[in-house]
Amino acid sequence: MNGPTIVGALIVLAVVAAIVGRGIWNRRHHRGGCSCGCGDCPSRGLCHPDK
Amino acid sequence: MKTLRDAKVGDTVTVVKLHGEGAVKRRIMDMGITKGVDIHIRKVAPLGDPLELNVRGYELSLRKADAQMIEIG
Amino acid sequence: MEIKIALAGNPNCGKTTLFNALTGSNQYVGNWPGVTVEKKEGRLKGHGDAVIQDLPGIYSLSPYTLEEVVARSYLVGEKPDAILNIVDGTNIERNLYLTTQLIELGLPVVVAVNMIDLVRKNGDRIDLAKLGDALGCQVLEMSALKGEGGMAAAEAALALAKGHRAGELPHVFTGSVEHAIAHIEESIAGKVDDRFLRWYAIKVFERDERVMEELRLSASLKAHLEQHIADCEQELDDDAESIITNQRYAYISGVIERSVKKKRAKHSLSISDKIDRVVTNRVLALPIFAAAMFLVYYISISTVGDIVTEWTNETLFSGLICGNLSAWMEGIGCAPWLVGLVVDGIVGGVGAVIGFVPQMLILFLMLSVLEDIGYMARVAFIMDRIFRRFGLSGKSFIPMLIASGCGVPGVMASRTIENERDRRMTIMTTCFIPCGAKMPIIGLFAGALFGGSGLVATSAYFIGVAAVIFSGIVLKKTKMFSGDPAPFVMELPAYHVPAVGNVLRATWERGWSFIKRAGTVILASSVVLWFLQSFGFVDGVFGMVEDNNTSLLASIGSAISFLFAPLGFGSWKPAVATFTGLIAKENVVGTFGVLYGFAEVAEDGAEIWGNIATDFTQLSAYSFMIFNLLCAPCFAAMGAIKREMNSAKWTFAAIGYMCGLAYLASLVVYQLGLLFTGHGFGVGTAAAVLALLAAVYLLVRKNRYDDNPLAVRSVTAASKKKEMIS
Repeated sequence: MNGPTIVGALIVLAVVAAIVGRGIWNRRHHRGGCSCGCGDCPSRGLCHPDK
Repeated sequence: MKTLRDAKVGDTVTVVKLHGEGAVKRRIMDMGITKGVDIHIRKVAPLGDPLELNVRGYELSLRKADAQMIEIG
Repeated sequence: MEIKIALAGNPNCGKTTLFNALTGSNQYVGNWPGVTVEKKEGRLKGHGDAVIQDLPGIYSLSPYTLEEVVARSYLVGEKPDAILNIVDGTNIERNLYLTTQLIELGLPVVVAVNMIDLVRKNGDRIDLAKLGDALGCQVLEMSALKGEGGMAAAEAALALAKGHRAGELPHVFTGSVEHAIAHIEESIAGKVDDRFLRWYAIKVFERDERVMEELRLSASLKAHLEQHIADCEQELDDDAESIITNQRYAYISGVIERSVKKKRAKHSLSISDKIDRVVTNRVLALPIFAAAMFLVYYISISTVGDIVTEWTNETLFSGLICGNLSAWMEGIGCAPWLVGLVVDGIVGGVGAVIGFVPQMLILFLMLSVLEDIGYMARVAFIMDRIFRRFGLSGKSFIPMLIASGCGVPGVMASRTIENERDRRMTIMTTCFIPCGAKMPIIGLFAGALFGGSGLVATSAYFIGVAAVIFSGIVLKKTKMFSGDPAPFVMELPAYHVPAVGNVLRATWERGWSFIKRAGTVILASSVVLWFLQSFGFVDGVFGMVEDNNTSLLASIGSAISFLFAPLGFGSWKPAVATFTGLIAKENVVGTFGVLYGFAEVAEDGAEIWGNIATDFTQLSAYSFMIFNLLCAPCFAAMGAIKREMNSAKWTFAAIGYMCGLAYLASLVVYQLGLLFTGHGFGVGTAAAVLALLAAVYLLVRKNRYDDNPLAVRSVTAASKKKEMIS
């Protein structure tokens, strides 16, 4: 395992961790459940209560 | 007693009385079908139901079963 | 001090277009009732202290529908400083019905007559001054689409709000009714805010359930008032609610006569009506609908979509990205496994999905156009008869149409269905309609095994609809869902030229969301999958494997793949793909991308399609497609189902039902397909035939719950019922 490989592996790990972490954070704050863009959602108020 | 259901496509009829009760009746009235109003039967949907009516200048879709509640003269 | 201005009006009056213009926010404008159930807020441009509250489109302030209740709760509870009432000028009579009720609230009201450009085009004339006099408030004109007069109306409302002055209440009611209402006002004075006194009094007269509950009048007072109301009912030979409604419209007719001059004769055909002569024509309507949907899917998947996707997959990804990326990584000395992870895993998985973005964008674009021009209401109108057969209404079709973009808002759109039983049934079946994320699956197989045929895509859509119809008929006959048909009273709004801004915005929003999902969820899944399929036990030693058939993933997959054997895809790759589809349906394609060595395209030139074609026959591919289309939706959709059902039991029931139906449908298609292509009759075939027979039986058996003698089905029954009771 040389230098570039370690760097590359860490990058990939960081990206995946960020994605998973963001997903968990979203879940906990009840955000972004839909997969379609919330402008369309009739129940926008549920996911974006501050707007 | 004649009801809106008995009217033919192309007829223009006048409402005499609304029977029935509850949310559906209220909805029908809210949409402008009240005593004395003229209704023009525009067409019937391709599968035979519902009706398309022209009332108070706009197009309203109403089922024949609900149209039966509307007595016309 | 923040000033609150409420935006109220009928559905389809252009309220939301105005809201967007006034607040600058990016909200999508739908053209049929029920899109905006939740309240929306925004700050008025250029006036930092003013907030605009967009209320749901409502026809009245009755207590019967969710939207109306939400709106009136806001108006009476939050007491906005002013109401900006948007009225559709081409439909003014019915729109003013709500106006009279808003004015009665005693809050300052400004009326803005929208679509004034259409009014002028029709040759009609509205005298704003006379109208204003009659209503007791300011009346302005505007055209939200053209951007004229909207801000002026908002500023007028703002001025009114700051001045704290409400208009003079018009004299809507006459004679004994007015007398009774005045009496009620006296009786309940002090129990409610002064401004709302009149509105509450009228509601009491109507015996409005919610108001009565809220006021909690003493029994003696109630009885006393009841006497007055009953007297009016006796005198006018009608019930209280009808009396109020009749008098309102009578008043409005008078107002219209004085202030509006229409050019066209009553009941004559507008341009929309002329278009509808063809579009909702007895003979042409259904073929036109079928043709429209076929066109939408054909153009987006098979022709334009296909070409762009091929370019994206081959030229962009395989050639440019994979080739250069692996060369670069190897060049800087990365270990081969990392190169494999990044190129085969990440780029392979994500690339397979991104390749479909062009098709998705075109699909979303076409659906947006259809929504924007007003075609969807016609579709509900045409389909109502079918939906009534299983106790629903054409309105249940709307969530399903939305679901063809994404199942989550589709499920949520079922909120507008008041009847709980109908709502549950709609939620259970909405996800059968292929959503945007399922399109890549269809596209992949259509391309790999069916030569890019447009029929595959269309048939997928119709299978979804067939599943819905089948479910509807079968479920209606069960005890849980039987009952009277839901009412269907729906406006058919005029057609209009699609607003390019709205359409593009909606398309972009949906497309961008699709891309975001690829970059996150699918990327992460691909990484995990790549590891699982690259490592395994070979001769007892754990390490990287050359052939992914010996990998960890293959072992896991093979353990469960037997479940799918009767359906024609009992190998580990399709099994794994199906499961990854639970995270996001696009993952099915992403997983294939990883498992079938997408990146190898760069080296040996064979397409991933070719690889897939070796593992599937046309029949097994179709069966796989059907299973994935009908089975449990992605986690996001399941979450939406759980939220709307509000019950774990119902959620499991819904998901279990979907999986069960998917399994049986695939089984029947595959096994009978085998039979008809000369593969003989076996256990599987027998099972399939049994399933088919069971399905037919459930469809045609008599509905035991059909007879309900107390339902008001006809006028004669109504009078008979009255006799029975008295």
